[in-house]
Amino acid sequence: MKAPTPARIAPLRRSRWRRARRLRNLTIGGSIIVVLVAVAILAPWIAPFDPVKDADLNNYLQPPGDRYPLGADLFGRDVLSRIIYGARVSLGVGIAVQASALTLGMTLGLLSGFYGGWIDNVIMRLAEVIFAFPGLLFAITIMAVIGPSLYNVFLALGLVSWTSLARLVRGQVLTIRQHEYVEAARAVGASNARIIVRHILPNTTASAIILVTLGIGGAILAEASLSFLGLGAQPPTPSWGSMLSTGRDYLLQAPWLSIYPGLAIFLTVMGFNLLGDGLRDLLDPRMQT
Amino acid sequence: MPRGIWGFIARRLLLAVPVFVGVTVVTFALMQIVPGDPVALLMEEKMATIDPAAARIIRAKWGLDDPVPIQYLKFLRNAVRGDLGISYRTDRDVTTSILERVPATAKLAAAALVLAILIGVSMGIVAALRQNTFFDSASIMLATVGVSIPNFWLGLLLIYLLAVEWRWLPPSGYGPPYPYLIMPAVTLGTGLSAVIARLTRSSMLEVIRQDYVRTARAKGLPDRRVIMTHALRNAAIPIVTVVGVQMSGLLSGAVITERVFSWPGVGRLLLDSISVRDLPMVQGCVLFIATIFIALNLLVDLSYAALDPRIKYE
Repeated sequence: MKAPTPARIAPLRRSRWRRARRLRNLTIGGSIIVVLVAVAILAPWIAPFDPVKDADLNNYLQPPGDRYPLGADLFGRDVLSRIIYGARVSLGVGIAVQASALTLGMTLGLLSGFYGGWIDNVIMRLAEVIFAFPGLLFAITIMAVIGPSLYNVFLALGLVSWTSLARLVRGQVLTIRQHEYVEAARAVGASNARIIVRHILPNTTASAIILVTLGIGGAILAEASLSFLGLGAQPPTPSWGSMLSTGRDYLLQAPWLSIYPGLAIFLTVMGFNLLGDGLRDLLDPRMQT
Repeated sequence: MPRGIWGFIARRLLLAVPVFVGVTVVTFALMQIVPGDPVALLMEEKMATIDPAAARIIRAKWGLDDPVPIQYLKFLRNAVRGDLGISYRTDRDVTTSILERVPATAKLAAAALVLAILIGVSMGIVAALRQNTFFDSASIMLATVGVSIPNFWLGLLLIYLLAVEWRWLPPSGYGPPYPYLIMPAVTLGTGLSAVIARLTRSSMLEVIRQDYVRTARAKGLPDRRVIMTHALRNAAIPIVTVVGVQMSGLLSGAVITERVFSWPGVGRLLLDSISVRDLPMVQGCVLFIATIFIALNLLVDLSYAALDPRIKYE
């Protein structure tokens, strides 16, 4: 076998570097998510205390220590246990919202961009009516109207989240459908369904993955924001957002009430973002050439 | 610009009309499903029992006696004229109350947007041009951190560090941009700048591998010109789309930021109105913000034409 020429060495190095980074993102992001999913599932077995029942006013705002590794809240409840149970709320809402957004958004965006005409008009006007209400404000309004609950959070965020994805995919399809390979596919007699699935869809997935990955983080942030405003999960449900909301009033006295739940949201969202980055590098064929 | 663009703009403007009507329908319908009688809601704080005579006066004042479709048509007619009704709680004109709060929200959102675009686009470009270097890695990590930080948490941390511990800035309040606008603008703009940086980077990476960029370089154009004229303009379409989409996040984020920093904008008016169940004010704020969005989305759509003449507006 011939030794690589100098001209080939640089691309090889780049590709190794890229693979290493992709693996790093996938590993770190994936590990965070695996740990969080495990924590959420195993919460009853690994939490040192019950997040709601084990209240003890004698431990009011107890700083982090041996008994309470992350401190105690104003009811003397263990902050660590509440964060562990809070993973269930955050992960549940984030994944459920984005699963529905992906299904709706990709389908409608592809149809809208590819067929144009009245289909495009109907889908985009519908998207715009929904899109004209910013996700969080829409959710805030629904909570104000029918009362706060986690199910309403999912409902409101799910209804709104697909619009960004549909618009992004549509915008790309508008450009892609004019490419020669689409014309070529049409010339050899490929059906519309085949063109969409085989030629257009693969060229839109990279951006969709970025958006959905950010979307899971976004949905988790949105749930936390609503709970922070007192409109999402209600006490005594251990939600990271509502824990922060309480923590805000005790920022000077007990900063751990704000720091740790915020850190949990931050790490969770970052986990999904890193995972998405890794997957993007893996799935985008142009990045591998 | 392609020749058909003016027709496209006219059609697009016309199409915004049904969207606005759709928005008024949804806003109105949401307020209709509020459980309980609005009169009871209005009077429960003022008197223990509801006096039928007073109730009649109230129903007439807020037009609650009309059938719902008529109430909607009146609401639509008044909204088009800029009249969003009268507050249940303050008895003041809703439009005036909102307009008083607009400058504060506009200042906050504009400062955050400018900050986000400046930081995001420049970070994204440099990261793409220095792909696979330490700077690229660091800016990706920074963007990941920026997009993952909950803005209310960032706000609280900034207050704790900059206002409480180091006493550099006031913890909250409204006043001249320096020092009052700094922490709220950073809190609101951080997430958006991170999103823009990521998109700019990935978009630029795709574009700088294209033949026309190679050609531009080959014919000896300076790097700055290649990047700004040939690459950035083509990379800008997904960026503009995302900035448009993220405007929603920016104004939603403004609601939270206004709450964290006691910033007297439209968002805080909305939250305060929700807490006292002032339905006309809630309805007015929601419709107002949604209308602003219709205008912004229109601008995003139109900007495609300026950026990519290949897109045909059939």
